Amino acid sequence: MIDIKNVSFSYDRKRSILQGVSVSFSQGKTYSIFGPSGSGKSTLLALMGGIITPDSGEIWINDHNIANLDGRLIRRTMVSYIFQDYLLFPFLTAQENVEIAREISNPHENNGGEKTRKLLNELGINESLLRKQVRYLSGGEQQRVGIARALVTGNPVLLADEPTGNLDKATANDVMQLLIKLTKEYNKCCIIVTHSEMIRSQTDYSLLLDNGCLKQVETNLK
Amino acid sequence: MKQISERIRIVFPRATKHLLRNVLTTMLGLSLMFLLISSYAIFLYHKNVSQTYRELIESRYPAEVLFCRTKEEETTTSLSDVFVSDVLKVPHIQANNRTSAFNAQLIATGHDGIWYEDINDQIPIVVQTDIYTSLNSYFMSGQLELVSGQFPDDKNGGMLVDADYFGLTLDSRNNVCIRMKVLSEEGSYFIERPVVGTYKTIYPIEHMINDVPVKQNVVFMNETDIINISDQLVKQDNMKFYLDSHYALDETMLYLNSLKYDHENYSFFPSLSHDVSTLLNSIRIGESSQKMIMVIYWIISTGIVVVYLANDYLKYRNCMRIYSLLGEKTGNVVCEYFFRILAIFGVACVPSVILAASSQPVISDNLLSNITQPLTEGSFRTTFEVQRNILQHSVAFNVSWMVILEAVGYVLIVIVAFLLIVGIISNKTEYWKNK
Ligand SMILES: Nc1ncnc2c1ncn2[C@@H]1O[C@H](COP(=O)(O)OP(=O)(O)OP(=O)(O)O)[C@@H](O)[C@H]1O
Ligand SMILES: [Mg+2]
Repeated sequence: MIDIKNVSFSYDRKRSILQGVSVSFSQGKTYSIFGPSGSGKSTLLALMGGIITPDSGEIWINDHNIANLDGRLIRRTMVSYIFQDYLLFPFLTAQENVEIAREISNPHENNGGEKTRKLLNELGINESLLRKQVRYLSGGEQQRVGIARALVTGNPVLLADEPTGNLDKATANDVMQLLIKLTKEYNKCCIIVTHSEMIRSQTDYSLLLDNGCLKQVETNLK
Repeated sequence: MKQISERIRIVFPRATKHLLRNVLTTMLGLSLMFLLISSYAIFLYHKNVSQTYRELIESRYPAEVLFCRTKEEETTTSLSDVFVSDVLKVPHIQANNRTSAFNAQLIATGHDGIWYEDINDQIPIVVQTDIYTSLNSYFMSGQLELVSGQFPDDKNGGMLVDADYFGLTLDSRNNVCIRMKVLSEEGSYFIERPVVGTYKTIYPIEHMINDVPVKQNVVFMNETDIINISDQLVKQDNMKFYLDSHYALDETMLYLNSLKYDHENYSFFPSLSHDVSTLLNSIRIGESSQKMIMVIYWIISTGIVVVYLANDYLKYRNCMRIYSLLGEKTGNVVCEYFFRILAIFGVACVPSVILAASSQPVISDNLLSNITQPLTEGSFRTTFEVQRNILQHSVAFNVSWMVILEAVGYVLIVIVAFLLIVGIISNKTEYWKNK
């Protein structure tokens, strides 16, 4: 699904953030990446979404070398992000926020509105919350909308950068459970950057990013 | 084409939602732009009124220097060509116009009009009267009869002279009615009037001035100007030199005074009255302070709009970042932004245009007395009142639509310039780390 081959990256060409990272992620699996602050976790996610390009090495998603693709095209058709601070349009309703992402990824999809509503309901956003502007929603509710927005696109890869960082423990747990459950259900590849032990124990694989190198440390797969 | 309609279909609802859901920002933008457009329009209105008024005064009272032969001279020679070319070399003097004219002076005003006599005591009395009243009644009652030429009217702006008195001279030159002129004087200011016809007296009209019966030497004209005619002056050679600028008159007079020219028997004087030149000066000072205010205004207003636009843009950048992360095409994002800004601008234009369209093209008394200060008193006042109508009409055209177009264009230019700069800057923006 995603093949990262010997990727190195530095922002200023002086201090390298990633050094020869090689790793594969496969469909239908969940991964967590952890590591000290500033180790380059967010940077790695940015590389996979075509936001920045590696200095050397290659990233392949579904047999496409993403170096040959426009970054926006990658995010439109392959990779969706979930953020710690949700990054929703605050003045749009929950439904509209999800709709916009769907419209961007699949502009000609029929019955999209129905799909959006179903997905949001699955995530626990009920009919009355659907029509509220997201600025009036709680953090947990906003992140559910964020997850729905990532799932609705049909992109095979979900990249979540500390998705529960702003939520209290109980809510974080709820949201995480939902994310992992739906990832499986929709057969996506989900990569979660996190500091939380609890999340690490719930993902299939757990990887440590340290000193610019990525190592697999745990497998929770039976 | 299809692409454009597709883009509009996508962008329109997004931009509309953005505007409607952020009501306060939208209202702020609307009112800022409306204020900007309308205050700029009001400013331009005042500027145009003042400018039109100045142009009107300048064309009505051209800056000239008049050279007149003194009366005692019995010579019939004209001003020499050498002299003319000498004067033409004086700075600011542009062209000359040789005319024959009478000199006249106000002696009395009566019910029928205004009476004049010439400076040399020859007493060819002139009556100036309103064509629609006295003139008509004299001719209708058969007291007077038109001999040649035509009646004075608004178009020819001319006057009639007594055929008996001037008859010989006039008959001896065919077409003299068109070529002869009467110079009227008020203070040091002169106006030329063409003679458009002659009349003769069937029954004498009796006029009394200071208990002295006055001969029937009557000139009719249809404007309230001040005339005095001397028959000898038919031969008089007057020359008028035009100046390129009203403001150079004093300077030119000084210069001429310092010249030693051959023809000592000519005197010269400025044709612009003190009142007119004071008026023009005050208008000019007003205009230059307007220019300064304009620059300050331009800076402040542009600043306000740019601050608003910049604040709006910074907020919208967050949206652009989301769009970028969702993979939305740059074209759609830029289009939505443009659409939003132009929609605010467009909606702000509507009340401005309605305001302009519904405003009466009338100059307020306040405005008039402002631009004519300090000349609302004194001899200029009459002329000023007469011109008020003309001024109203000439200014009306310039105001409202032209002004609103200019104001709208100005704001549009500010917006477009801002968008261009933003476009250049945001090309280098990184969406990832920026909040
Ligand atoms: N846009 C940028 N320009 C220059 N340097 C950057 C930029 N973004 C990140 N960095 C640097 O790269 C390094 C890695 O940053 P990154 O955000 O990937 O860390 P992280 O592992 O996500 O940390 P955290 O757990 O705190 O989120 C940091 O030292 C950071 O200072
Ligand atoms: Mg990070």
